[in-house]
Amino acid sequence: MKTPAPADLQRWSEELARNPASLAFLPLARAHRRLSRRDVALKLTLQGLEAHPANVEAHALLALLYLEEGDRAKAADEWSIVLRLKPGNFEALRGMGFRHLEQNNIPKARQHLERAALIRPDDTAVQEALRLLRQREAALRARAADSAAPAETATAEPTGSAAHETEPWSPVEDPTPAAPATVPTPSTVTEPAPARPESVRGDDPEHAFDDLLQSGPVLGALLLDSRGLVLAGSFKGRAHADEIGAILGAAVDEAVRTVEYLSLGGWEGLILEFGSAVLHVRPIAGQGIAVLAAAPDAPMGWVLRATAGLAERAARMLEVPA
Amino acid sequence: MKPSEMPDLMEALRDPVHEFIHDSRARIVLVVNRSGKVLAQHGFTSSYEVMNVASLAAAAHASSQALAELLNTRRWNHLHHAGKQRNMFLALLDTPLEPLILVVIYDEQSSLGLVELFFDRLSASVAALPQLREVRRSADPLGFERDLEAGLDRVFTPDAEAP
Amino acid sequence: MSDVYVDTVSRLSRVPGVRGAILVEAAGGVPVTAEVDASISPRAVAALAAALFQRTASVSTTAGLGRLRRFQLETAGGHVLMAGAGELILVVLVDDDGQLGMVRLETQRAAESLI
Repeated sequence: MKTPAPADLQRWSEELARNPASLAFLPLARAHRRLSRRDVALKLTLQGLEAHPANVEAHALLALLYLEEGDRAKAADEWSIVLRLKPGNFEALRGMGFRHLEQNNIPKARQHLERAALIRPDDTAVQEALRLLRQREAALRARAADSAAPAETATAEPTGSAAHETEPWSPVEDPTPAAPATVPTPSTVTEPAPARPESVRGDDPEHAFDDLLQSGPVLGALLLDSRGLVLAGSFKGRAHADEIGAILGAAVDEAVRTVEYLSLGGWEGLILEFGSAVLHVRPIAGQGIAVLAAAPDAPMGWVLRATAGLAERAARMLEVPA
Repeated sequence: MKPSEMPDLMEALRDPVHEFIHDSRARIVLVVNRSGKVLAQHGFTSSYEVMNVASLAAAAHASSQALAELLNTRRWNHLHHAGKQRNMFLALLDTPLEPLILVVIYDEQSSLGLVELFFDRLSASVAALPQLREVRRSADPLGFERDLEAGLDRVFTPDAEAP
Repeated sequence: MSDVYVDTVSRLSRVPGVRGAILVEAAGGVPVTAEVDASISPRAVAALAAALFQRTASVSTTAGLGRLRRFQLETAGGHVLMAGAGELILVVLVDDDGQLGMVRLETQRAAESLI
């Protein structure tokens, strides 16, 4: 890190003294942070934000300062503000990606980390986080498929580079053009105990919802992960579950974007009416997607209720709230 | 615009333009100045293609601007060419330093509506960039070619896709 | 501007619970005509809804499900109904507590009348 010159510090301080609403608070706060005077940096940044509440760099700096204090929740709040003001901000996308990964919110983590990777494909911390995320998703799929395996201990660790996964989450450098001295890494989070998937006939995930398929109008029932990969369930007839899952993964992806851009709040469901089937799709606590397919002439109210029941079963399988 | 300010401009444009590419699902994007010089690119594989498209786009913009003036319209919001498989959207991106030309080539994965929608958001983001209001003056007078190379290296990485 | 288009959108926008109705050119994602609350941007809704509908429709053609006729997006802030009408898409925005059954019926009738 470049040590700020005393002359610069003096110049910014004088400017701020002359005009308390000056943007000089920002370089001055950064300089104090580099000199490890974090309390001063924090005070300057908070005061500066009173005059400039929409200043993206100030919110980003505040996120760093909170992170260095160990207050990740406040850091995440600031990154959320940064992303509202500037949706493509790399540091905020990365920070929120790690935060969601730490909280095991896989879909949100993926959403943020993939966008960050698009902006800086060579960022090693992001790539490492995506690798860890993929491991967790694979583990979840394996658990859903392997219902006969004994439950693993709650302290089971994912495979991979232990160094990254046990290091504390260290703060990053200012969002100004300079190489970061340290990069944030996901903190250690123990893997949740694997869910024993509910099944009706044996321990075969494909037949996990066969009882629903006995009902006349139902053509299929699936549990997907956030990317559209099938975790359990099947379809009657010629329809392929994998293909349906892929279609719905794309639809959900597009729906999330639409909802965010139009500020409609979170997405709660999709109803797709095709010539030969109606599909109702519901999110499961950010961890998966429940899909019910019914005959095109099935009463819509009935379809919605049936999907609600499927979603509850899927949530139990994933061990998350419905 | 001074050559020494170009790296700052391109650095400042990086995030907003990346976001535009992600949201609009455009295949190819060029940021060009009105003389036809390429400032940033995404999606091209060869510099020959980039240079050709950039100079032609600048020419298209100049001639359309002349038409606008003949018709007593200050300027067009954008140009749009619709093709069978690919389409081109060309618009002026106002920056605090100088207007730049954004050339966007998209296919069936996007639409005119999406490109327009996210271009408007890009324009607003660029106009509000704080970095462009107080451009640092470089003490070292870099040559234009050095600035351009440094800027291209820092902004985009070419895709492997063919245009 | 075709009277049929304007009348269709106008009639739909008067259904209780409807915040806006937009007729969209499907390929371009641009509005043909719209009647919406002041808080709604027809351009944004048209572009995003058309992308959602078209993208789902195009990838589903090989899955043996038939043509995508209607798409309903359920959100915390209400519902977005989309109905295909040839080269157009009818998009209707409904309040969370709107009479969805009636809106769905009217939207379907309107879409069929445009084909």
